[in-house]
Amino acid sequence: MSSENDFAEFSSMFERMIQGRGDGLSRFLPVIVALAAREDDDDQESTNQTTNPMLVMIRSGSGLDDFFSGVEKQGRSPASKSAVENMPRVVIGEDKEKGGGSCAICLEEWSKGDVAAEMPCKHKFHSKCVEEWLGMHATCPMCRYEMPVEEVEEEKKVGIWIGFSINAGESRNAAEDGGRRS
Amino acid sequence: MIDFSRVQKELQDCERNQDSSGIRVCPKADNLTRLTGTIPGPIGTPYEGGTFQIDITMPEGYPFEPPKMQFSTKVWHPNISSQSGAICLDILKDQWSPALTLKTALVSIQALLSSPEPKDPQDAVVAEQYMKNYQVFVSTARYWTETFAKNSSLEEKVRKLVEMGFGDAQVRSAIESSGGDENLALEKLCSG
Repeated sequence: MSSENDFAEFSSMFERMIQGRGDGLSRFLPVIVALAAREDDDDQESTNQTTNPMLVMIRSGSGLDDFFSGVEKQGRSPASKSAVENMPRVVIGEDKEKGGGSCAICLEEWSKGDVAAEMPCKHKFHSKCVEEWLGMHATCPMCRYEMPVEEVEEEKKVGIWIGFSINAGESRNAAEDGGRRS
Repeated sequence: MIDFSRVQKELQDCERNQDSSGIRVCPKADNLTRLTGTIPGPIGTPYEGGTFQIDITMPEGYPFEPPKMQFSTKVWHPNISSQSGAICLDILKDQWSPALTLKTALVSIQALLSSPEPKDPQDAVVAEQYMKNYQVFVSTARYWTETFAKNSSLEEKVRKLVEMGFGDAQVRSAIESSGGDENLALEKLCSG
Protein backbone atom coordinates (compact mmCIF):
# COMPACT_ATOMS: atom_id res chain seq x y z
CA MET A 1 0.00 0.00 0.00
CA SER A 2 1.45 3.29 -0.99
CA SER A 3 1.99 5.81 1.69
CA GLU A 4 0.46 9.23 1.78
CA ASN A 5 3.89 10.70 1.36
CA ASP A 6 4.22 9.06 -1.99
CA PHE A 7 1.02 10.64 -3.07
CA ALA A 8 1.86 14.04 -1.71
CA GLU A 9 5.06 13.89 -3.65
CA PHE A 10 3.27 12.55 -6.67
CA SER A 11 0.60 15.19 -6.67
CA SER A 12 3.12 17.98 -6.41
CA MET A 13 4.96 16.44 -9.31
CA PHE A 14 1.67 16.27 -11.19
CA GLU A 15 1.11 19.91 -10.46
CA ARG A 16 4.55 20.84 -11.71
CA MET A 17 3.90 18.97 -14.90
CA ILE A 18 0.62 20.77 -15.45
CA GLN A 19 2.28 24.10 -14.83
CA GLY A 20 5.17 23.29 -17.07
CA ARG A 21 2.88 21.96 -19.78
CA GLY A 22 5.84 20.07 -21.04
CA ASP A 23 5.61 16.69 -22.60
CA GLY A 24 6.37 15.09 -19.25
CA LEU A 25 2.72 14.65 -18.44
CA SER A 26 1.97 12.32 -21.29
CA ARG A 27 4.69 9.98 -20.12
CA PHE A 28 3.08 9.70 -16.71
CA LEU A 29 -0.53 9.43 -17.73
CA PRO A 30 -0.60 5.63 -17.61
CA VAL A 31 0.81 5.80 -14.09
CA ILE A 32 -1.73 8.38 -13.03
CA VAL A 33 -4.59 6.34 -14.40
CA ALA A 34 -3.25 3.10 -12.94
CA LEU A 35 -2.72 4.60 -9.50
CA ALA A 36 -6.16 6.12 -9.51
CA ALA A 37 -7.71 2.80 -10.43
CA ARG A 38 -5.75 0.88 -7.82
CA GLU A 39 -6.58 3.24 -5.04
CA ASP A 40 -10.19 2.93 -5.98
CA ASP A 41 -10.06 -0.85 -5.68
CA ASP A 42 -8.09 -1.01 -2.48
CA ASP A 43 -10.04 1.44 -0.47
CA GLN A 44 -13.60 0.66 -1.21
CA GLU A 45 -14.67 0.86 2.39
CA SER A 46 -13.02 4.11 3.18
CA THR A 47 -13.54 5.86 -0.09
CA ASN A 48 -14.75 9.05 1.45
CA GLN A 49 -11.69 9.48 3.56
CA THR A 50 -8.85 8.39 1.40
CA THR A 51 -9.87 8.52 -2.19
CA ASN A 52 -11.85 11.08 -3.97
CA PRO A 53 -11.45 10.51 -7.66
CA MET A 54 -12.60 13.29 -9.85
CA LEU A 55 -12.43 14.40 -13.40
CA VAL A 56 -10.77 17.62 -14.29
CA MET A 57 -11.56 18.97 -17.70
CA ILE A 58 -9.33 21.67 -18.97
CA ARG A 59 -8.18 22.92 -22.30
CA SER A 60 -5.40 20.62 -23.12
CA GLY A 61 -1.88 21.36 -24.10
CA SER A 62 -0.09 19.12 -26.47
CA GLY A 63 0.61 16.50 -23.82
CA LEU A 64 -2.62 14.58 -23.98
CA ASP A 65 -2.95 14.73 -27.74
CA ASP A 66 0.51 13.29 -28.04
CA PHE A 67 -0.28 10.58 -25.55
CA PHE A 68 -3.28 9.38 -27.46
CA SER A 69 -2.00 9.84 -30.97
CA GLY A 70 1.43 8.53 -30.11
CA VAL A 71 3.16 11.16 -32.15
CA GLU A 72 5.18 14.20 -31.38
CA LYS A 73 4.43 17.41 -33.09
CA GLN A 74 7.75 18.55 -34.38
CA GLY A 75 8.24 18.23 -38.09
CA ARG A 76 4.88 16.61 -38.61
CA SER A 77 2.76 19.67 -38.95
CA PRO A 78 2.37 21.47 -42.26
CA ALA A 79 4.66 24.41 -42.85
CA SER A 80 2.99 27.79 -42.62
CA LYS A 81 1.51 28.94 -45.90
CA SER A 82 3.28 32.28 -45.76
CA ALA A 83 6.66 30.62 -45.22
CA VAL A 84 6.03 28.42 -48.24
CA GLU A 85 4.88 31.34 -50.36
CA ASN A 86 7.85 33.45 -49.31
CA MET A 87 10.50 31.02 -50.49
CA PRO A 88 12.38 32.51 -53.42
CA ARG A 89 11.44 30.88 -56.73
CA VAL A 90 14.13 30.40 -59.34
CA VAL A 91 13.50 29.59 -62.97
CA ILE A 92 16.13 27.16 -64.14
CA GLY A 93 18.02 28.66 -67.06
CA GLU A 94 20.31 27.32 -69.76
CA ASP A 95 23.32 27.13 -67.49
CA LYS A 96 21.25 25.25 -64.87
CA GLU A 97 21.69 25.73 -61.19
CA LYS A 98 24.88 24.88 -59.51
CA GLY A 99 25.13 22.10 -56.98
CA GLY A 100 23.36 19.04 -58.19
CA GLY A 101 21.70 17.75 -61.28
CA SER A 102 18.24 16.89 -60.08
CA CYS A 103 15.35 17.55 -57.74
CA ALA A 104 15.80 15.20 -54.77
CA ILE A 105 12.06 14.63 -54.49
CA CYS A 106 11.05 13.50 -57.99
CA LEU A 107 14.64 12.65 -59.03
CA GLU A 108 14.07 14.38 -62.38
CA GLU A 109 17.05 16.27 -63.70
CA TRP A 110 16.69 20.02 -63.79
CA SER A 111 15.65 21.21 -67.19
CA LYS A 112 15.35 24.66 -68.59
CA GLY A 113 12.21 26.46 -67.46
CA ASP A 114 11.65 24.37 -64.32
CA VAL A 115 10.58 26.42 -61.33
CA ALA A 116 12.63 25.63 -58.25
CA ALA A 117 11.90 26.84 -54.74
CA GLU A 118 14.84 27.61 -52.49
CA MET A 119 14.36 26.84 -48.83
CA PRO A 120 15.98 28.99 -46.10
CA CYS A 121 18.64 26.27 -45.77
CA LYS A 122 19.42 26.85 -49.48
CA HIS A 123 18.25 23.44 -50.64
CA LYS A 124 16.33 23.60 -53.91
CA PHE A 125 13.52 21.43 -55.14
CA HIS A 126 10.86 21.71 -57.80
CA SER A 127 8.39 24.18 -56.43
CA LYS A 128 5.44 21.82 -56.77
CA CYS A 129 7.40 18.87 -55.31
CA VAL A 130 8.46 20.67 -52.15
CA GLU A 131 5.10 22.39 -51.71
CA GLU A 132 3.42 18.99 -51.55
CA TRP A 133 5.87 17.84 -48.88
CA LEU A 134 5.69 21.06 -46.85
CA GLY A 135 1.91 20.75 -46.90
CA MET A 136 2.42 17.72 -44.64
CA HIS A 137 5.76 18.24 -42.87
CA ALA A 138 7.54 21.46 -42.04
CA THR A 139 11.05 20.14 -42.63
CA CYS A 140 13.59 20.23 -45.42
CA PRO A 141 13.74 16.82 -47.12
CA MET A 142 17.54 17.06 -47.31
CA CYS A 143 18.64 18.44 -43.94
CA ARG A 144 15.46 18.53 -41.81
CA TYR A 145 15.75 22.30 -41.43
CA GLU A 146 12.59 23.28 -39.63
CA MET A 147 10.23 25.69 -41.33
CA PRO A 148 7.69 27.65 -39.29
CA VAL A 149 4.61 25.49 -38.77
CA GLU A 150 1.04 26.40 -39.54
CA GLU A 151 -0.48 27.73 -36.34
CA VAL A 152 -3.36 25.55 -35.27
CA GLU A 153 -6.03 27.24 -33.23
CA GLU A 154 -5.28 25.80 -29.80
CA GLU A 155 -8.67 26.85 -28.46
CA LYS A 156 -10.42 24.31 -30.63
CA LYS A 157 -8.53 21.45 -29.14
CA VAL A 158 -10.10 20.38 -25.90
CA GLY A 159 -8.80 17.40 -24.08
CA ILE A 160 -9.58 15.71 -20.82
CA TRP A 161 -7.08 15.36 -18.06
CA ILE A 162 -7.98 12.87 -15.45
CA GLY A 163 -6.94 14.04 -12.04
CA PHE A 164 -7.66 12.64 -8.63
CA SER A 165 -7.14 13.71 -5.11
CA ILE A 166 -6.34 11.66 -2.11
CA ASN A 167 -6.93 12.31 1.51
CA ALA A 168 -7.76 15.91 1.81
CA GLY A 169 -7.35 19.38 0.78
CA GLU A 170 -3.77 19.83 -0.18
CA SER A 171 -3.62 17.54 -3.14
CA ARG A 172 -7.18 18.23 -4.23
CA ASN A 173 -6.35 21.89 -4.40
CA ALA A 174 -3.37 21.04 -6.48
CA ALA A 175 -5.53 19.28 -9.00
CA GLU A 176 -8.10 22.04 -8.97
CA ASP A 177 -5.40 24.60 -9.52
CA GLY A 178 -4.35 22.61 -12.46
CA GLY A 179 -7.92 22.54 -13.63
CA ARG A 180 -8.26 26.26 -13.67
CA ARG A 181 -5.06 26.77 -15.48
CA SER A 182 -5.59 26.85 -19.20
CA MET B 1 -0.86 8.46 -56.49
CA ILE B 2 2.49 6.69 -56.51
CA ASP B 3 5.14 8.54 -58.48
CA PHE B 4 5.95 5.58 -60.73
CA SER B 5 8.45 7.50 -62.80
CA ARG B 6 10.45 8.07 -59.63
CA VAL B 7 10.24 4.39 -58.67
CA GLN B 8 11.40 3.49 -62.18
CA LYS B 9 14.33 5.88 -61.82
CA GLU B 10 15.27 4.39 -58.47
CA LEU B 11 15.28 0.90 -59.95
CA GLN B 12 17.44 2.04 -62.86
CA ASP B 13 19.87 3.69 -60.45
CA CYS B 14 20.09 0.50 -58.39
CA GLU B 15 20.69 -1.47 -61.56
CA ARG B 16 23.38 0.92 -62.78
CA ASN B 17 25.21 1.29 -59.50
CA GLN B 18 25.53 -2.31 -58.46
CA ASP B 19 28.11 -1.49 -55.88
CA SER B 20 29.93 -3.52 -53.31
CA SER B 21 27.09 -3.08 -50.81
CA GLY B 22 25.26 -5.99 -52.41
CA ILE B 23 21.92 -4.26 -51.81
CA ARG B 24 19.35 -4.84 -54.55
CA VAL B 25 15.78 -3.93 -55.32
CA CYS B 26 13.65 -5.94 -57.75
CA PRO B 27 10.00 -5.53 -58.70
CA LYS B 28 7.75 -8.43 -57.73
CA ALA B 29 5.06 -7.72 -60.29
CA ASP B 30 4.81 -5.46 -63.29
CA ASN B 31 2.97 -2.68 -61.52
CA LEU B 32 5.87 -1.60 -59.24
CA THR B 33 3.73 -1.45 -56.13
CA ARG B 34 5.35 -4.53 -54.63
CA LEU B 35 9.08 -5.05 -54.67
CA THR B 36 11.69 -7.19 -53.02
CA GLY B 37 14.81 -5.78 -51.42
CA THR B 38 17.89 -7.89 -50.72
CA ILE B 39 20.56 -7.04 -48.19
CA PRO B 40 23.61 -9.06 -47.24
CA GLY B 41 24.17 -9.49 -43.51
CA PRO B 42 26.88 -7.04 -42.38
CA ILE B 43 30.35 -8.49 -41.88
CA GLY B 44 31.40 -8.91 -38.27
CA THR B 45 27.83 -9.43 -37.04
CA PRO B 46 25.84 -12.61 -36.33
CA TYR B 47 24.11 -11.93 -39.67
CA GLU B 48 27.31 -12.25 -41.70
CA GLY B 49 27.01 -14.64 -44.60
CA GLY B 50 23.22 -14.42 -44.70
CA THR B 51 21.13 -12.89 -47.44
CA PHE B 52 18.00 -11.17 -46.17
CA GLN B 53 14.90 -10.55 -48.26
CA ILE B 54 12.66 -7.60 -47.51
CA ASP B 55 9.09 -7.24 -48.75
CA ILE B 56 8.42 -3.73 -49.97
CA THR B 57 4.95 -2.30 -50.54
CA MET B 58 4.70 1.15 -52.03
CA PRO B 59 2.05 3.37 -50.40
CA GLU B 60 -0.24 5.58 -52.49
CA GLY B 61 1.59 8.71 -51.37
CA TYR B 62 5.13 7.59 -52.27
CA PRO B 63 7.59 9.38 -52.11
CA PHE B 64 5.79 11.60 -49.61
CA GLU B 65 5.00 8.59 -47.46
CA PRO B 66 7.57 5.96 -46.47
CA PRO B 67 7.64 2.61 -48.28
CA LYS B 68 6.32 -0.25 -46.15
CA MET B 69 9.14 -2.68 -45.52
CA GLN B 70 9.33 -5.90 -43.57
CA PHE B 71 11.65 -8.85 -43.49
CA SER B 72 10.40 -11.95 -45.27
CA THR B 73 13.53 -13.80 -44.15
CA LYS B 74 13.31 -14.74 -40.50
CA VAL B 75 15.80 -12.79 -38.43
CA TRP B 76 16.71 -12.64 -34.73
CA HIS B 77 17.21 -8.97 -33.87
CA PRO B 78 15.86 -6.68 -31.11
CA ASN B 79 14.31 -4.22 -33.57
CA ILE B 80 12.78 -6.77 -35.93
CA SER B 81 9.84 -8.98 -35.04
CA SER B 82 10.93 -12.61 -34.98
CA GLN B 83 7.33 -13.49 -35.85
CA SER B 84 6.26 -11.04 -38.54
CA GLY B 85 9.49 -9.42 -39.72
CA ALA B 86 8.14 -5.95 -38.85
CA ILE B 87 10.94 -3.40 -38.53
CA CYS B 88 11.22 -0.70 -35.89
CA LEU B 89 13.14 2.05 -37.66
CA ASP B 90 12.36 5.76 -37.46
CA ILE B 91 13.00 6.59 -41.11
CA LEU B 92 10.34 4.06 -42.09
CA LYS B 93 7.91 5.94 -39.87
CA ASP B 94 7.92 9.56 -38.77
CA GLN B 95 11.47 10.36 -39.85
CA TRP B 96 10.87 9.53 -43.51
CA SER B 97 11.87 12.19 -46.02
CA PRO B 98 11.15 12.20 -49.75
CA ALA B 99 14.87 12.67 -50.36
CA LEU B 100 15.38 9.13 -49.07
CA THR B 101 15.05 6.26 -51.52
CA LEU B 102 14.38 2.53 -51.42
CA LYS B 103 18.12 2.01 -51.61
CA THR B 104 18.97 4.40 -48.77
CA ALA B 105 16.19 2.88 -46.65
CA LEU B 106 17.69 -0.58 -47.24
CA VAL B 107 21.14 0.78 -46.35
CA SER B 108 19.63 2.04 -43.08
CA ILE B 109 18.12 -1.39 -42.40
CA GLN B 110 21.52 -2.93 -43.01
CA ALA B 111 23.00 -0.45 -40.52
CA LEU B 112 20.29 -1.44 -38.05
CA LEU B 113 21.46 -5.04 -38.33
CA SER B 114 24.93 -3.83 -37.28
CA SER B 115 23.71 -1.61 -34.44
CA PRO B 116 20.65 -2.92 -32.62
CA GLU B 117 18.74 -0.52 -30.35
CA PRO B 118 17.48 -2.85 -27.61
CA LYS B 119 16.01 0.08 -25.67
CA ASP B 120 13.51 0.72 -28.46
CA PRO B 121 12.59 -2.86 -29.24
CA GLN B 122 10.24 -4.36 -31.78
CA ASP B 123 10.65 -7.84 -30.31
CA ALA B 124 10.73 -7.67 -26.52
CA VAL B 125 11.97 -11.25 -26.10
CA VAL B 126 14.96 -10.70 -28.36
CA ALA B 127 15.72 -7.33 -26.76
CA GLU B 128 15.68 -8.80 -23.28
CA GLN B 129 18.00 -11.59 -24.34
CA TYR B 130 20.30 -9.04 -26.02
CA MET B 131 20.58 -7.04 -22.80
CA LYS B 132 20.68 -9.85 -20.25
CA ASN B 133 22.47 -12.61 -22.05
CA TYR B 134 24.40 -11.22 -24.98
CA GLN B 135 26.30 -14.42 -25.79
CA VAL B 136 23.09 -16.42 -26.09
CA PHE B 137 21.68 -13.65 -28.28
CA VAL B 138 24.68 -13.85 -30.60
CA SER B 139 24.48 -17.60 -30.99
CA THR B 140 20.71 -17.53 -31.53
CA ALA B 141 21.04 -14.79 -34.15
CA ARG B 142 23.82 -16.74 -35.84
CA TYR B 143 21.77 -19.93 -35.81
CA TRP B 144 18.81 -18.12 -37.38
CA THR B 145 21.12 -16.70 -40.04
CA GLU B 146 22.46 -20.18 -40.81
CA THR B 147 18.99 -21.70 -40.87
CA PHE B 148 16.92 -19.08 -42.65
CA ALA B 149 19.20 -16.64 -44.46
CA LYS B 150 21.60 -18.95 -46.23
CA ASN B 151 20.47 -20.21 -49.55
CA SER B 152 22.82 -23.04 -50.17
CA SER B 153 23.23 -24.35 -53.67
CA LEU B 154 21.72 -27.62 -54.85
CA GLU B 155 25.10 -29.32 -54.74
CA GLU B 156 25.65 -28.25 -51.13
CA LYS B 157 22.24 -29.61 -50.16
CA VAL B 158 22.96 -32.88 -51.94
CA ARG B 159 26.35 -33.16 -50.27
CA LYS B 160 24.90 -32.55 -46.80
CA LEU B 161 22.20 -35.17 -47.22
CA VAL B 162 24.54 -37.73 -48.79
CA GLU B 163 26.85 -37.23 -45.80
CA MET B 164 23.94 -38.26 -43.61
CA GLY B 165 24.00 -41.61 -45.32
CA PHE B 166 21.39 -41.38 -48.06
CA GLY B 167 22.05 -42.39 -51.65
CA ASP B 168 22.86 -39.69 -54.21
CA ALA B 169 19.99 -40.44 -56.60
CA GLN B 170 17.53 -40.79 -53.74
CA VAL B 171 18.66 -37.42 -52.31
CA ARG B 172 18.33 -35.64 -55.66
CA SER B 173 14.83 -36.87 -56.24
CA ALA B 174 13.79 -35.98 -52.68
CA ILE B 175 15.14 -32.43 -53.07
CA GLU B 176 13.44 -32.08 -56.41
CA SER B 177 10.08 -33.25 -55.13
CA SER B 178 10.36 -30.90 -52.14
CA GLY B 179 10.87 -27.84 -54.32
CA GLY B 180 14.45 -27.39 -53.11
CA ASP B 181 13.56 -27.32 -49.42
CA GLU B 182 16.26 -29.40 -47.80
CA ASN B 183 14.43 -29.84 -44.50
CA LEU B 184 11.38 -31.19 -46.28
CA ALA B 185 13.64 -33.42 -48.39
CA LEU B 186 15.22 -34.79 -45.23
CA GLU B 187 11.79 -35.55 -43.79
CA LYS B 188 10.86 -37.42 -46.95
CA LEU B 189 14.09 -39.39 -46.88
CA CYS B 190 13.60 -40.29 -43.24
CA SER B 191 10.01 -41.39 -43.72
CA GLY B 192 11.19 -43.71 -46.43
